[in-house]
Amino acid sequence: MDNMVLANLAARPIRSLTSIVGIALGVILILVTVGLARGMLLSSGEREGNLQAELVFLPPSGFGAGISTSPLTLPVAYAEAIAEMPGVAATTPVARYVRTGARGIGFELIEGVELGANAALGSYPDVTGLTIVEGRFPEGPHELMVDRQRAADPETHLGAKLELLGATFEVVGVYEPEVGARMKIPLESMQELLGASERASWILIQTEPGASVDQVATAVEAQFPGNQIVFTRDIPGMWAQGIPSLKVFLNVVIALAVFISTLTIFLALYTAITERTREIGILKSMGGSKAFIVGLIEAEAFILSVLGIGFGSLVALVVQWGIMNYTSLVVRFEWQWVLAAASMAVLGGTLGALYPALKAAHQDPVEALSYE
Amino acid sequence: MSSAVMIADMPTARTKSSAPAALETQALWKSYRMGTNDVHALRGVDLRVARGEFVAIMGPSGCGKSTLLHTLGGLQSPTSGSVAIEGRDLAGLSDAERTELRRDLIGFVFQRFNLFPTLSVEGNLRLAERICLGWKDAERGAARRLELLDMLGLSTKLRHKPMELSGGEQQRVALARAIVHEPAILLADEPTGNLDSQNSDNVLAMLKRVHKELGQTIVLITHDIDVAEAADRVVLMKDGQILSR
Repeated sequence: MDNMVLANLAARPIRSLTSIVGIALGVILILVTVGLARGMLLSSGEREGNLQAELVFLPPSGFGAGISTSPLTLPVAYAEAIAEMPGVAATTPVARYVRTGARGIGFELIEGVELGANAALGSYPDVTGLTIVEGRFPEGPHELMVDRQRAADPETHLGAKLELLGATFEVVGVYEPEVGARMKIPLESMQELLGASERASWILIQTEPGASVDQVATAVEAQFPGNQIVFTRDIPGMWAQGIPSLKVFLNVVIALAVFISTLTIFLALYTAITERTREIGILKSMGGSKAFIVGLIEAEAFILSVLGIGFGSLVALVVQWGIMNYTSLVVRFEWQWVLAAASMAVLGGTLGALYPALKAAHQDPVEALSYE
Repeated sequence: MSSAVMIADMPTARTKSSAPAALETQALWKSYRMGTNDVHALRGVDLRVARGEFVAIMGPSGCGKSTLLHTLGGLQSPTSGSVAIEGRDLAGLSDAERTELRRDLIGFVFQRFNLFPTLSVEGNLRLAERICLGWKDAERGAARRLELLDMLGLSTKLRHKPMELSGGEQQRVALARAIVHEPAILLADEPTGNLDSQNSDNVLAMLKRVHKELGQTIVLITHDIDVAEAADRVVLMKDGQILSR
């Protein structure tokens, strides 16, 4: 081999492989963790954004944290009162419950929706434009409907039975489009099973054609002060911005990934430099400058980082496939995060190589030449 | 027969003292601290090597030959005294400037060959070209490389790794690597010390040829009288001092 950097990497395949895996670990950590967090947020945002209702009326708790975990605190009577206000075409209350995800991984949302049992309220399908594409709408108290993604899961396909809130439910319908939670049961069933009769998590408000959504929102806010009104058009953006505490968590994950990459390359190259002390002496005797020696070692770290990024990205894709196919979670890779993961890996690798490189460059040539 | 007697009888002993100096030392001292003692490897060495001269340095082990060679090549600084390479005093140069001077003017050959084991013959030479000539002179380097490998009988060994070569071949590769950038000075530290007599003769013949055809200044350390005979002049050292020039 003619290239010293590549020759050195090929001469110690296990060490090179270990370094690549170390770098890949950091890349996987960033891609999967961020992909999972962002995937869940964006997917939720898109599904919430699919609501055809223009407004969501919420209790005072914040939207970001509240919408997925809202207990049933809002009186359903509010929906009836709002439905009577000018400019409002229909309202429908929604209850939401969070349970541990399929196979014990992550979490899963279940919604209790109005399916026409209460004549005073609009039905959820009418307000959201949801339609059944397979089977039928739930009619009995222990029936549920799922979206297409959940229907593809053998545990929740059409006709399957599953335990929810201590009762056995049967999947009777598959709906489109994906909106809100992926599993929906009758509102009354959820209220009964959670012991929250006549309560909901929030209320969807559909305005009349031609009515000003802003004016309706202002009017509802004035009539029910202290509660929140959210425009559904803003929901995807709100989810995309994420949750402040999640951002802190992701920053910690990124720092951890950089630390892993740095440490891996540092350990690998520090050992390599010690082994190659004599070779460094030879380079110096040949007139190799400090910059040249630093460049050689940094080039080695860069190649290891690039290979680690490639390998890590491949593994992350496999993990994504596994998570998406075997759990209800969503992992989404975005270019900016792939670039961030790659940059972090290169940064970690370069930083990790810096001390060994400088140590090598500053070695005494005569001592290095006599190293055994 | 003692070495001193044999050296005195050498027919090749001649000097080129009238030519400008390629290397010159004055009152050169090099001391090391070992525990609580100071060890003086060089004790006031005065040496002048003219351009184009072939000088052999002989002396018992530990007399300071290698220290002198390393100091002449700018690999280490003297404790006191001066070293000048092609008229440039090393004392006034920064570490980077000394490295540059070594890169441009000096080639080293070592007893243990010191080839890069992971690189092929060609790779070892390419690396030297890259360090000494940079990317700009790649064409010149490639032509020079092929010419040298042919001259040293290594044309068929381009893709071989050092471990696949005999000791003599490895030393010839080391020689080619040392002169691929046409340095003015070649410093050789017992280049035949690890070779059998046949390979030693081969390497010596190559050194003579390089000296004759390329006109490089050569300073060579040896314990071998036969090798020393090839030089223009033999310098004897003992206890860090030069006994005869």
